[in-house]
Amino acid sequence: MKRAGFLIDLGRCVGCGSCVLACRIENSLPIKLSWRRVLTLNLDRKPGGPTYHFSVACHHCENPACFQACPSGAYEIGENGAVTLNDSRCLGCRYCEMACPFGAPVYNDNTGLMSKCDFCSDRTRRGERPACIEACPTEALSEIDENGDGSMIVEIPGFIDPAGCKPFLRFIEPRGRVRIEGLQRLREVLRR
Amino acid sequence: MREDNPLILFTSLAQMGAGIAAVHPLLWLVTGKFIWPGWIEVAAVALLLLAGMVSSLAHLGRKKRMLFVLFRINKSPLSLELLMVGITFAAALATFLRYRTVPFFAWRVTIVAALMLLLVMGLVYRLGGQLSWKGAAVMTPLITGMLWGSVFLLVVENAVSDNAGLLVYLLITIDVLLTTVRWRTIEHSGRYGRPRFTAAFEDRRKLIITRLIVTDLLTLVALLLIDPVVALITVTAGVFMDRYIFYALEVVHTTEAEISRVESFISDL
Repeated sequence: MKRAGFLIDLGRCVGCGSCVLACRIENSLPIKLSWRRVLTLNLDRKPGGPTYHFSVACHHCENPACFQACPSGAYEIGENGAVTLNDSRCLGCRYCEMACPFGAPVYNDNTGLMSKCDFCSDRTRRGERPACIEACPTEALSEIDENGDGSMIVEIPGFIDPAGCKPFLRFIEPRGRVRIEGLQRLREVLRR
Repeated sequence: MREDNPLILFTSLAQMGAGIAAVHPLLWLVTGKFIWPGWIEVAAVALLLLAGMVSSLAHLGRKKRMLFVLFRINKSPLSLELLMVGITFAAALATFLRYRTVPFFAWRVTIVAALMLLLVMGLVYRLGGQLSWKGAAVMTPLITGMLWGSVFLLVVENAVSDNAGLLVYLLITIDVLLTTVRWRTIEHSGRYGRPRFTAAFEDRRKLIITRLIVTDLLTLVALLLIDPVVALITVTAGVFMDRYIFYALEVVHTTEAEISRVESFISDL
């Protein structure tokens, strides 16, 4: 069984937000709530500069902070590694919201419960892909294939793991205009 | 801040209640004798903790599921905190109910549970993504709780010696030092994370200085020159203010803040 995790091709994501919209529709989220968002790193901080986008939701971490923190045991880790929330056990105490460094669990005012991406567990059980991956027009967002060609990386500038959660999120470095060498140089500079 | 108001109430009341019991070991060290608690003191511990527990329910989205926390005591710090509140309250209540007989064991349990509660209250918020809740902030519930407890004892218990006054001055000094270190942590974290309440964060200097004045300076002045009852009022206001700024000056790691930091770094190159 494939381990649940998102793979983002930084060279393909155009920041259109189709994944965000698909997630909202699939999960019937209220207007104020969103489980997925698109972030942008603009290397020159001006329009037209080298830019890359990435879409983030829950990273289904290998050591999830929400799972460790929850006082009622509402979080579960599925066979495929997806971190899901059991509504019937959630207290709505929002402690997981404080614990998660990636902003994945969000509080639903209407229900008094926490909510977050569950890797579209209903769809994956039917053999379908998560709605966000299905909706991506450029195939920038996909599932991690651990037997892939080895081009996946974990760290990119602007994405760190401050709580030791080991997010199961991988990136493919951009090719062409946003140069690999530029990112590597940036990484070296940031490490100093 | 509206969603944090129940937490401010809970943590303030719990600190005050637990502080009355937790300060007794220090009093014993300072005065050389174990000071037997008066019934007012024991009742205050129980009532303050009960009020704290009731107010905390307002924070929960599903209040009736509160007992689920008992299933994660060995895993979640929040579960442990709630358990310690319950044990401290139960022990204080047992002490009060058996006050005319032999409450000694129950009071000892109250003291130990109160100390553990004040320590756990700080540890609950020591989370990886929380940048302003680390370091000195972890010890603050213990110190401010004991400070409040010691001032309360000065007001209520006539049997307490002058050395107890020295204990209050010592706790004030430690509190000032801790708050100063916390201030540095908050300033430092603001460069790397995102303040949850921007307006409050912009006023952080005023808030922290006001907190120092109310909790420490005014309490000291009231003890030295005015009346211990006035000191109790100022330190009570100080405890609430401390908890307010704890939540108001929350700085969290976010991926957005990290990206912004990287972009600023690049533009400075």
